[in-house]
Amino acid sequence: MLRIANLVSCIGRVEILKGVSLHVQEKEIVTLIGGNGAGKSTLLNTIAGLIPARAGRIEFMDREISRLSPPRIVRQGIALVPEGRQIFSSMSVADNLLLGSYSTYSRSMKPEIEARLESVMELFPILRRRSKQLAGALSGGEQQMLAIARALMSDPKLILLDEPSMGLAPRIVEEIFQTIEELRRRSMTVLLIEQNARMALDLADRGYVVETGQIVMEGDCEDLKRNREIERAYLGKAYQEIWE
Amino acid sequence: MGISIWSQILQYLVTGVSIGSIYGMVAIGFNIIYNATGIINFAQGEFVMLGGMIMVTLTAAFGAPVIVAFFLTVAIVALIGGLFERLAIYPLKNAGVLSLIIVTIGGSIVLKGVAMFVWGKESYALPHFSSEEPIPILGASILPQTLWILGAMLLTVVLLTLFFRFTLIGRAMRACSSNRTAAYLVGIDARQMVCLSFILSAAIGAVAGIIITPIALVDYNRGFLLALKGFSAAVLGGLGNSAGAVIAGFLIGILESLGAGLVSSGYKDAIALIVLLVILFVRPSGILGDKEALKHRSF
Repeated sequence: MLRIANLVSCIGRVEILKGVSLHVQEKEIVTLIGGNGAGKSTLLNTIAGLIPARAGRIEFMDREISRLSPPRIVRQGIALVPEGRQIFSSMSVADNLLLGSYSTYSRSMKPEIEARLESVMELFPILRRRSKQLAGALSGGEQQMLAIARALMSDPKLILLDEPSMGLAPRIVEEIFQTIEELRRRSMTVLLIEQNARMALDLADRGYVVETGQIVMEGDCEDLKRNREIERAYLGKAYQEIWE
Repeated sequence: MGISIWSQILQYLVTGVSIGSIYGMVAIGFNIIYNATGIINFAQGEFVMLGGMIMVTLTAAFGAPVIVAFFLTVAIVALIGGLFERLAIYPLKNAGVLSLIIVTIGGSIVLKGVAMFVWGKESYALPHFSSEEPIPILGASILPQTLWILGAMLLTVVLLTLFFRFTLIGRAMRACSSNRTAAYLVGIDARQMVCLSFILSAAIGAVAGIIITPIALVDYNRGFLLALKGFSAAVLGGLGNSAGAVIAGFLIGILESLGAGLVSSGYKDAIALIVLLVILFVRPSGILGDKEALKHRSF
């Protein structure tokens, strides 16, 4: 569904991605793990079009999209839930959700958007209760749910999640991950970045390990979890435990 | 025969409210563009001037009926606003806020120059929309045109509020000022919204110019002072806050008119500037402005 080949992208003059290749198949949950500054967010932002690709290809549903602007990429069916949520904090929750459907909005689409809103509210009942409140007044976890819900309102085929657990209490993180699980049941395709590598590997089907702008390892999550290097670097096990 | 001081003050208040409505509308024009782009459009006053000028030309030279000329003028000035954005702002892809502000100053000089070239340096008047017979109230008298001005201002505010609250495009414009990256991600083309904000601001400026011309005359240089006072109102009300802009417009209009009447008309134009300075010293976020938001502003 998504196929990336030799992607190079820069922030300013610094080359962040140094030739990344990966793919995501339909209905798959794929996770990218790696430390801070490895280039994970840059990768998602480049797919979404926020950062221009310097070289390489990004193909989505057999169409080259690396030259498209973010609004046109949303219309192709890719929605990014950006790092730090980036909700419209001075607007109501309901307005945030409505704007999520902006890329697909037209008069004739109204009933379908209503239905979409209904199904999103089912996924996040809290948003229904908060719908008239200002988005900025929500708690961190609720804002994260709103950010995901807003992305879903564009009826995406592929959803990109950038650190959905960032800064949230463990109980809330649990909830967010259950939501992603629910997305799988709704046969959504997900590309997930996560600091919490263990949770990400438990949830996803396949994973890639990113280090300094390159993919250094890839495979089924089960295999990755058993990999010693990954256990040491990302799952927090000491050498001693591993060798014993 | 002594007119009582109270009816005199009432008269100044009436004058102040009518000119204050205009300042408020100019301030709203500043706010719309400010909210969409973070820049102050110093050509805002020129939109007001063009509104007056084009209206005069359409009614006097072409004999168009007032109502037709009104909408035609607003449409033409809105178009000029949109073109201004496409030609002067749009091509500067990654320019900073300060450079864009300087571009609008240049734009204002160009528009003023063209206006002088087309209409010369003389002043033009427009007949009042309805009777010129003042309506007496409590010893003061109100020109019917004043009511037109107030009505047009209120109608503009109501329509704008409805637009920003209830239409998708209006919400999209608010989304752009709330979080530009996120707006981009949900599929809103921020650059089109910027163009739209110039069109809207120009249209509002044109309305202000049309309704003020019957009582204040218009010449090519009229925009400058109006922009200055409208800007003072925008800052006093809190940049980006349209309710604040209306209140502040009234305040400055009334202060100006009282100052001119009770102190000396020589100081009339200084009053808005004094208000601007005091506000910038004492409460830079304005009366209704958000102090928190001010901290995050980059200039």
